[in-house]
Amino acid sequence: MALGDARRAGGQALEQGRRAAGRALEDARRAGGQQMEAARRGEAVAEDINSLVRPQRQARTLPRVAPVGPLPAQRSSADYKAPAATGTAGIASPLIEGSAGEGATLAREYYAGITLTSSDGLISLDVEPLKKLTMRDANGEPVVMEFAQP
Amino acid sequence: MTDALSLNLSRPTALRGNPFHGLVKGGQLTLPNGATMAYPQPGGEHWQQGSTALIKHPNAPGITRTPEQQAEDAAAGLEWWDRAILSGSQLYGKELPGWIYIDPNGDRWIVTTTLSTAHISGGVCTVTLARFGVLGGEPESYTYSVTVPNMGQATPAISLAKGNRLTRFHTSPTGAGAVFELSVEFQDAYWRWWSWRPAGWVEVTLEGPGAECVAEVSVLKTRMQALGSTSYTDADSVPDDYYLENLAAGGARLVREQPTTGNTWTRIIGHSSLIGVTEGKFSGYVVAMFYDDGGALHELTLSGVGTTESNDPPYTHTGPTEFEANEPFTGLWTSSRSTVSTLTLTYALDGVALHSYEFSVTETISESLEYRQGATGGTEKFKSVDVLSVFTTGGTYSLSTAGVDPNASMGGGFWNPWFDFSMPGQPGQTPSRISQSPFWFDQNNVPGRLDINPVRHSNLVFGLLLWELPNNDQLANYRVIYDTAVVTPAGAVTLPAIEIDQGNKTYVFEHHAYASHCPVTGQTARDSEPVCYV
Repeated sequence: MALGDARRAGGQALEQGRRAAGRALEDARRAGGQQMEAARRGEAVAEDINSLVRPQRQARTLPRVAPVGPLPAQRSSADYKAPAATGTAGIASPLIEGSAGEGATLAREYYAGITLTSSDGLISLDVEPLKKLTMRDANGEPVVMEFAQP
Repeated sequence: MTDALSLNLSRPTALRGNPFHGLVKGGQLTLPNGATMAYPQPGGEHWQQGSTALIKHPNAPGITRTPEQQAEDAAAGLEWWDRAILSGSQLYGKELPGWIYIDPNGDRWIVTTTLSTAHISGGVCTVTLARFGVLGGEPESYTYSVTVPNMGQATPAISLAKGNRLTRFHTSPTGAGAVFELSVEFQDAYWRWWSWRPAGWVEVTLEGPGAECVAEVSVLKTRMQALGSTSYTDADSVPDDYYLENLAAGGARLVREQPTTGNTWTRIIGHSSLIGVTEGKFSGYVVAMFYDDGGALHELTLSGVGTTESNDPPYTHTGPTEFEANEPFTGLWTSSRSTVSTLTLTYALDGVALHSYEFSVTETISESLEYRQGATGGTEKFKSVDVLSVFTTGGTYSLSTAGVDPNASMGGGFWNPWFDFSMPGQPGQTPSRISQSPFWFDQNNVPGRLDINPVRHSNLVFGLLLWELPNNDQLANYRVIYDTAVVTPAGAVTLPAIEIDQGNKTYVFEHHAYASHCPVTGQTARDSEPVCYV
């Protein structure tokens, strides 16, 4: 047995020995027997050598990410998916305006407009009070807020 | 429509508007609680700096404040009005290029026009309405071509006036009416107390929504109508002359009429007895036109009456009427006469007098002229005269003299401030003769002149000034005293008199008094520096 083999065999034995602490001596003898058998077949030689050599870094290509930016409005549909009947379903942050699509999109409904006017009647500001705001959570689940008419 | 989330999620309440109201002086606004704050001082000519016009939106919501809020407002000096003031050309402290028109839909528009003296004989001007007062939204404006009628300024010629101009003078609460003053200029330095005086009035009216507005220009007062009328009422005098007729047979006789016998004669006394009243006046000079809170147009007129009541009876003659040849001519003529001359300047609103300013001079004269035999032979003239002149306003003058004077004569007044005679003789003279400048004595018995000048403090405040011009080389500067009484659309108001040192004694008017009338509170203020209600 080469020196390296011995060291490896010894190390594995010690490791297994530690992990098999408390096991029966029979297990230990059987494990030792399996190691000895594998060593005889030469299966662990390459691994043992590689363990002594620093492995070279392998270049890997990053996964492609879709570009961020405005997307054309698109309509989509999905079948209603009933929430899990666990009774503990919640809203996952963040909430994003819009029922679907990439990023936030306007998804608001308004009450009829009202006009705010200064006391002297000379300055005015037209306002549509918010009626409904549709958002989706991090799981894509819709979150709808409905507001009372002021 | 704005869609700002923060605003939409908020509970909508009224935009409160501008709570800062009061008198602006020296760039500081004094609030009702006495606190001051920086505020833009309205600009323009001296009278424009205090001019005001009510802006009243028919549907202004106003603000309902709780008692607690009212207490807070009072403590902070805030007032939330349901109306506003066009102060000079400013609204909320910002200059506007025109006036505000509130159309039947309640929409507000800034109105500008090309109307000017270029259209004095008629033509076409433009009136432009630009949307005002809406936060956000697209700009919106409409321009209309409007036919301008002849403004009727051809006659009469106005004495001493130079150029003319057309100036916006006042606007109605909704801006549906704007009255313009057509004025003529008196350029000399001593006329600066009222350089541009009215000679006509023109109105621009607007009707309908801004996008479909009907604009019209009409002449309210032609020149002749604006200047009003003049008149003079004379009184009959009676000749009271004495002639010494040299008789052909020698000697002479005293006769009352100029001899026509062919004999030589000398007029000893020339006199016209006058017992009666003479009166000159100008009436209805339209010095302002303005709108009331309801939008009705009113006119302020200035009228002047000069009346002189004369009590100058025939002289009393004592002495012979016939003289022998070589008999010295002798005789005594005495006169006791008096004259009371009164000037009354009256401002009237729609024909109803608001206030009159009165000045008078009473002059009493006792005079005698005696032809008597002199110490060296022949006839000498001995004259005595006692004069008392009382000037109101002003002082008194008295004189008492007696002595031989070979050039002595009798008759006449002493200072002759006869106001009837100084009134304009025709309407074209009225703008230049609204002021009077009689001989006068001040309280220190210094002779001089007193300029009595009606003044326009602002478009809604009119008064009168006295410019004292004594003949006193020791005097530092002339001074102008502004009378306590002014008139406003609300009537006559009494204010503290103001004395202003003119900084010279060269008859150059340099320093004004400024006044403003608040169309909301009805207050009137006057000061030696510009003031304006906002």
